[in-house]
Amino acid sequence: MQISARRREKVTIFDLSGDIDFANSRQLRQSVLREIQENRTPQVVVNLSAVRYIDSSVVASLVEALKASRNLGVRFILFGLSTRAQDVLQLSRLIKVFEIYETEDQAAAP
Amino acid sequence: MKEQSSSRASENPEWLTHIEAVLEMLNEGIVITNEDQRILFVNSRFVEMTGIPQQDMLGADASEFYSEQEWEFLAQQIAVVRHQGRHRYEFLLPQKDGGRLPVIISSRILQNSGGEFRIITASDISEQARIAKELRSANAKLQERQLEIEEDLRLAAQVQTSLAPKSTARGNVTVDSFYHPVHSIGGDFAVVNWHDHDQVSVLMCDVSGHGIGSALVANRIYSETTAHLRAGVCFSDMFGRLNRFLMEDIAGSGMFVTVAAARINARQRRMHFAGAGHPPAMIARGSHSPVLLESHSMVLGAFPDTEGTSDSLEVALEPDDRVVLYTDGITDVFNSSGEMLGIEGVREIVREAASLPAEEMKQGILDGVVAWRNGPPTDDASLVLVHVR
Repeated sequence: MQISARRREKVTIFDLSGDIDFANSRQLRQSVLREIQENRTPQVVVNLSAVRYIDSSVVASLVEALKASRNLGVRFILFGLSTRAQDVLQLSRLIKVFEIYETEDQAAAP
Repeated sequence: MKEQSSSRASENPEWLTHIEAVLEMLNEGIVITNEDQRILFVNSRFVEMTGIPQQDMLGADASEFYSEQEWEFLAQQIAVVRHQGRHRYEFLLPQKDGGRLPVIISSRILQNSGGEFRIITASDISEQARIAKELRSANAKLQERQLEIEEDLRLAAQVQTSLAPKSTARGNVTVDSFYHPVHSIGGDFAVVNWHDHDQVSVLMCDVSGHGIGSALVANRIYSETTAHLRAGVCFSDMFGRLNRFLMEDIAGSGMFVTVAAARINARQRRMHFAGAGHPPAMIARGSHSPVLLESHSMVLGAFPDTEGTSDSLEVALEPDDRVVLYTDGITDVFNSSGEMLGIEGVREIVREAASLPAEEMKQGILDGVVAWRNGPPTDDASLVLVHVR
């Protein structure tokens, strides 16, 4: 997995690529939580358009980030989910909990 | 070390005289001998490395400064230099105070009209040698600790094995189970609770992730779920209680739990089913595509209020129905093309395996998963098959 962060106006976007699983989800968790909890960025977006597969540990990381964002009044958004990633969130009945968009423009909009 | 010779060297060759000043500036120790092993030149760095005064070395036979064993070794290296023209090796340089300085010796033969000369460069590697020794020591401690951890994990795995239900049968109901953690311990578990000879509850649970952390959470909630099943708590209440337990008692774990629960009354041929974020259970019935029983509740332990905690589904069972509960370690396997088996893939495997005798169906499913999978398992995998004759 590759993870990189960039700024788009007042939004921080994490671009992920490759397969994310238990082995590398910790890096994702730490990076996103640091942005939310330490930098207090008002809007944090995770770009999953280059990610084919996510497993339960990744979902757990995203849930943890969502909970942290709610506690701090930060908007936490996902976009570009593959069909498979959507299936994973659908199966866990978490699809409605997250703010999810198809495109970056939609996700980064204030 | 042998006694030093008091003889002086014959006059140095002219070329050496020209480069002495340069050799003095080098950080490496330099020794130059003639073909008779007489020391013609040593620089001040070499004097510093050995602690032997320069005047004691000049003109002396080089062998005088080493023990027999050391000189025997050096003579072998000299033979290599003569044969190859150059050579490089490690050596413990004797010091006047009795110490030994780790060095790399680089030796070359120089031949000209004045004869044959050997130029020896000694590079101090004492710091590297110290670090290497510390690394070896640290590595040995790590290996020892690794063995201790492996033993602890082996014992933990034995305890964890007790969470996997044994295959059992009562009346016209048979329960067949499979559990394989991807590491020695994992976060899957299943509970089979017989209420009487024709009523059985089966619960399958998957803690997110795998390994020690997931196993610890699994152990914590195992007894909670067992107690609820034995008490006959309805599934929606049980999910709510488990969710509160996870949010309050194991807060901060960063993990969540998926659950599939089935309560089967074989005499009435009815089953109540409920799932929380878990892959759909399947009812295999003859050659038909298995019926999927979807989860209606969210995963447990993620948020205080679990959404969708509706009452369980009620399903009529027919003779020879086979109920299959499993974790995503069964579905999330990939073939050599990177395609995931998925729920529909497992559904087809179950359909095919349903044509086998009931006692062979579990293995038929597992064989189908293994046939698809490329490489070893990457997640804990569990399967429970309930056959209602």
